[in-house]
Amino acid sequence: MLSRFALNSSLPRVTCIRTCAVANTGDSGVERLIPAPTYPSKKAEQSPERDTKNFPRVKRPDEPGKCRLFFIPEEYFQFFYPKTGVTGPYVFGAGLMTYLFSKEIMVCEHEYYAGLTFALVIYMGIKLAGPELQTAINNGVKEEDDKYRNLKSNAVEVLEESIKDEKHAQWQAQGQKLLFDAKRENVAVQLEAAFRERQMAVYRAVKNRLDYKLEMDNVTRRFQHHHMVNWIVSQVRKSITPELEKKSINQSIQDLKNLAARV
Amino acid sequence: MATRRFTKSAVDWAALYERVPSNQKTNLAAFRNKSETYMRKLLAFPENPPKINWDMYRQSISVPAFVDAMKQQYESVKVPYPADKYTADVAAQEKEAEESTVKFIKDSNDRITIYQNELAIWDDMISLEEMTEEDFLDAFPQIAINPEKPSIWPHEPEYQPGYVDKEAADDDHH
Repeated sequence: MLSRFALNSSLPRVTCIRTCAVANTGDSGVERLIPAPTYPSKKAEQSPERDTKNFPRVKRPDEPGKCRLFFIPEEYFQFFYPKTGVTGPYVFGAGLMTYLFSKEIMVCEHEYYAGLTFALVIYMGIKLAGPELQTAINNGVKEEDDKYRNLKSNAVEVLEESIKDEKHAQWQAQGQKLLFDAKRENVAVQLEAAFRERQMAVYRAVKNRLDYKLEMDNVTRRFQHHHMVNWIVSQVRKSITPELEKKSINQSIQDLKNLAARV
Repeated sequence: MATRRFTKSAVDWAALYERVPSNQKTNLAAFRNKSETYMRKLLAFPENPPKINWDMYRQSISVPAFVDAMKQQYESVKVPYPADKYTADVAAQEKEAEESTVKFIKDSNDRITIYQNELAIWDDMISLEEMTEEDFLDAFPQIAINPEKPSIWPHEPEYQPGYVDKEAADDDHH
């Protein structure tokens, strides 16, 4: 299947492709991972010309095959069943061992017992450390698999994001109408401002003239008034003679006496 | 000239702000600033000049004929509305912008088609876990292992013989 080395060499570039593509979305020159046209296609796989019966697609087994007694493949037992029934393989095994021992093909010297001891130790090792080791290895496998899964999901995500961004950019581009409405309004605002300025200029010109006239009239009236008062006072003063003054003083004294008698 | 008089601002700045691409927001802010300057200038003047109290003037001014003459003149003056020379320019600009928008949308749709075609390829491709190494090479010749160009451990570009650090080479020029 896929070589671990191949993956290691490819991944730095793949992550780069992901980041570059995100940075450049919306641009026609986006650097992204594009499958070559020779990619294995599902459609081709389902086409009637594809002979999946004789040439099935190789599938990686996720789990090892089944075993009996920890090391004898299930298939060996299945091979015996049609000929001998279910006890056949065990009888065959026992018979074979008996034959090997009796003919001394397999000799029980000290190495044989060492082998038995090794088998025991290996069994205990598997029982003690096996599950943890299995989890660790499975996690490693999953990590490797995820790198490939991400290859696809990242590419799809980038493409979908690009499409979304393009649509958003289109929507924003269509918003130009609002901008031109605003521009037209600006023109109208400036025209109106100029118009109002002119109106006010006319108003002020008329108003200033009227106010000037009004103020002029007021000042003239005030001067006339003042002059009139002065003239009357001076005329009255001129008409007062010494006899008239004396007479008026006597009259005043007389008035005072009358007032004193009344008190 | 029967010009529609300006009454009320109809620009929705929030909507406009939302539709402007983020790299042009400063331009929009400048534009808005300018618009508001125009608006302030407009609001400095009343819509119609205040009424002149002609009766008061006629009573207090010694020459009522002068007031009547002024009144008659004031009422006969018709303030011309300034000619609009710029809306046509704006319309031309708008037409130009519309053309470029249409072109942009067309290009954008083309790009979307490209992306969708690529999506369809990814969709049609058998899952990467099911591929053999030959399949992977067919699909991604640019990243699959290439027996013609073997690499040495740890198979990173930096560790290969003849590798030139592009960034470092660029830095040397500065």
